Amino acid sequence: MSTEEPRPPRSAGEIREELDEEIAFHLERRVEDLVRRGVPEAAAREEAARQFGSLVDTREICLKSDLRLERQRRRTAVTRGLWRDLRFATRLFRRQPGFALLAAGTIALGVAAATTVFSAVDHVLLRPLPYAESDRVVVLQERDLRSGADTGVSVGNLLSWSGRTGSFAAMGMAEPNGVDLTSVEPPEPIQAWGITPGFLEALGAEPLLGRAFLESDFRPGMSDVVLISHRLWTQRFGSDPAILGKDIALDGSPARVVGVLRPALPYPDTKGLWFPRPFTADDAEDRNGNYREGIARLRPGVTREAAQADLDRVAGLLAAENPRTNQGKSVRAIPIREHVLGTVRPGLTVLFGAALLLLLVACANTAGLLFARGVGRERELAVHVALGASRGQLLRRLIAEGLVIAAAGGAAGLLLAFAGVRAVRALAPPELPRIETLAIDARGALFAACVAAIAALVSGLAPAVRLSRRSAAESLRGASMGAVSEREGQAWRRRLVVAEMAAALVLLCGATLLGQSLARLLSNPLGFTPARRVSLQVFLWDRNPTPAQRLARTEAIRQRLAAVPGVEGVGIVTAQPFHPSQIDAMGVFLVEGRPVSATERPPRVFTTIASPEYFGVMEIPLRRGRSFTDADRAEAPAVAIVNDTLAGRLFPGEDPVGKRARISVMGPPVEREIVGVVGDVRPTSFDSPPRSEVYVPLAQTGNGSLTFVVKTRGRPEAVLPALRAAVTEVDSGQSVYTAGPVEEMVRATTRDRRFVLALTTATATLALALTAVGVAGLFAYTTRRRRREFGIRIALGARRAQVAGLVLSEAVRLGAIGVALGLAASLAANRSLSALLYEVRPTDVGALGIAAGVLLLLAVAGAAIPALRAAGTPPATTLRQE
Amino acid sequence: MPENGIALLRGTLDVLILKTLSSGRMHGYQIVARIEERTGGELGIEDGALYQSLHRMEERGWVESEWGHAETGKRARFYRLTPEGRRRLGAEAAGWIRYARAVFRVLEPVEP
Repeated sequence: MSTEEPRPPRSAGEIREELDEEIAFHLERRVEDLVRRGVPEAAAREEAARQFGSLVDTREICLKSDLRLERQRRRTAVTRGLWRDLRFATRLFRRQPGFALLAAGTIALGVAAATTVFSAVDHVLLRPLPYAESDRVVVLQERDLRSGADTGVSVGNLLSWSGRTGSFAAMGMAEPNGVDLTSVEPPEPIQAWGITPGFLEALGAEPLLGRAFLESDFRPGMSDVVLISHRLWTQRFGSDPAILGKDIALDGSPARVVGVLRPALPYPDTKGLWFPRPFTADDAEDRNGNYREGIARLRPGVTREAAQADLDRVAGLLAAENPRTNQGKSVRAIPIREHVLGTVRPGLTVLFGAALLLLLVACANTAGLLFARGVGRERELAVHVALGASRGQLLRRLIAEGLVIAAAGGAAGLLLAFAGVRAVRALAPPELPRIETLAIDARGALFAACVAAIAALVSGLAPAVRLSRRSAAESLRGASMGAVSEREGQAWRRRLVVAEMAAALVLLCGATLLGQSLARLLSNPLGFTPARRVSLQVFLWDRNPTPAQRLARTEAIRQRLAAVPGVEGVGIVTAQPFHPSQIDAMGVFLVEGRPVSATERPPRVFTTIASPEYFGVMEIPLRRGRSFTDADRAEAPAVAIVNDTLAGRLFPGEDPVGKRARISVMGPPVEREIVGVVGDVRPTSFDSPPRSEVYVPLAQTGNGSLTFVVKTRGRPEAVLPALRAAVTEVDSGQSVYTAGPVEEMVRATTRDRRFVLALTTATATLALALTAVGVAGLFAYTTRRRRREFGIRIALGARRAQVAGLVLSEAVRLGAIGVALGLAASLAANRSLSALLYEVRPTDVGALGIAAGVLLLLAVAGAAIPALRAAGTPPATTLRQE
Repeated sequence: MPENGIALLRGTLDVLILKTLSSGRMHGYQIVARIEERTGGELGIEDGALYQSLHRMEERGWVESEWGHAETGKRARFYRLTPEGRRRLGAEAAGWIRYARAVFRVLEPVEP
């Protein structure tokens, strides 16, 4: 017996019987021998038994050996069978490298896309936020019920909520601030957050190194201490743990680093540093400065809804007590998860859906390939069956092939996913929480393996089961039988291609809708010109304490900037539209002759301070009256310019020019004459509605938080270093907080949309490419099989165009079915897109029509070459074939 | 012969069986008969011990068995050496011969 052939497994009973037969045979032969030598039979039996020794012992010992051997054989048979199947399957790659590469490559694409997006979704959305019991943490936001705008909180309101509600275990706030790191040259501006007592307890953020702030840190007069962010620690301090307990220079004075925060803390932001900000006596009165981040931790057992009701009650009391500040205002407790991740969830969910659809297309494509191969191999497999291979063995062999393809595809897909994740990290908007630490980890790899295994089963098992189900005799019975299974196989492939087309259409529709949304959004007029404008933001307060000093320093910087070669104009403003750290201010606007009662909230508008050149530099059009001039100085009559929205709201049907109003800008209301009306600008994004805005001359206020908008002749980036240098030339200790092209700031506001659009488009393109491969493969195969038919048609006088038309009409028919199914699926799927759409309905006929057209075109294009080949079938040769 | 035969050293039976099988495949009784014939019945081997040894060696992969037909036409279990068994035989036999020679040199009557 050869060692190669597996011996049939034996049961324990069979083993025992064989052993007994062997011993019986031995005893019989012994007796025969003895009898032949003349021993009487009875004595011979006795002698044979005596010579054998203990029958019971021998039987037991032999049986144990045999059973152990059998077990061992079974084990090796299984592993050897597996190995043989896998060897058989890997031979496939050598025999049909084109087929195997195509199949594995298809799976690799699907796995890579799904794994990349899964990693991003898992990392950004699914993992718990890095705060202790983060489901109890809520972010507090004030809401203006009149405009519906959500804002930060004011410290006075926060103190009231904290003192008068019972639902919270801790409450605190973070006050945005800026400091300069002065131990480096030039001084580097750093985002700093002044955090009050209760903030760390509410957030539940334990530092990575060192300690949190202690109660004593909040006592006034204590030495300055800071917690630094992980990003600052790694980027600026080389991840050196020795930084703990050391002093760093902030705005020229030392501050001791007591701790390092954990990485990827998404709230309030991931950069900068935190310092203690004690509550002061004035805080209770400040109910207007609602630019602070409020945070609270629910008491154990208190639901968010109960806490919200508690807050509503206190908000009602506050509105009654302080009508001038709190009327029409509410406060909302938003789960921190919702606050941090709510805006990114729709985009990532859509991307995940898109990746799964691509995976589906990839599976359908691979299944189609395996089907095509399976149809050609039916006879081969039938021979295997006839030679004694069991159905199970055949099935195992086919599955092994699927596994080898899936393993190769999965491994390649995982490698691709590493590149994909890197691309996502580079492409993703930096505001995407936790994106900085995105990587493929064990969970991602496991996901890839699962996806590959499922892809193997989905794409490999169906054809395998179908094939192995046909009996050997059935398939061997000759050509007619082969033709039946052939037709059935073609039907399956057609169904798969239709499914691919439908899935690709869903992706295409999504990408088209997103593209249209972006186009509509970008077509919104901004009200100003961002191209060739650079903005530099500086804070002059610390180094120029008086208004006169600030004005002199501002004028010096303006002149120096204007003298830089390539500069065409310099405008100065406090709140530049689209600026990432825009400093908004609001003030009351009391029109002369319209009294406001004590209980009524006076109209509040955005108050922006601007230089005379600002409107010209930004190309904000002057509608009426005049712009500011150099004559609008501090000692000159106080003037103001309003925008279209304010004019329409407070002076409906009137000409505001010449009217007077008391406007509070940096202090108590001052009476000003309205000298002009300018156009609206979009304040923060393409879809942000213009707001009521009043401009007052810079020279009449002496503000110190200023943005210089510089109009350049050439590329703004080229001039930027010279502009920065110009500021430091005026005062070497003055840091530039932010600097960059305005166009870049405008583009940044659509980065998340472009990110989702780019990935969806890439996915749709891949799906279309795979579908094209599927269509082309199907038609190449069917037209080859129909060569005889075409040859006969041509021989009978059919025109070649008619033959090509036969193939193409089949393609159009399949395409139409795919489009119909795809559109139906799109209508269902696109509803999940609506959060990402802008002024485009998910059922937009134009978008769906374009997508359907592209798909039909693709179906025809995929069938074009096979159709041409069919038209070129020579009548004679094919008739001779077979 | 067992009661007046020489007691067999452990592991010796294995070598004897492997050596016997080296001339071809045979069933258990043939092996017994061949060993008895070669030793003149001097070694007291219980037949049961021989089968225990055979089955143990099959488990270890030194011999393998299959069912066939004996001269008489009866079904019998035949054994033959595996390549592993052949290697084993070479090693064991060499060791045995060295051992026997050493013992014999001591026991040999010394010439005056």
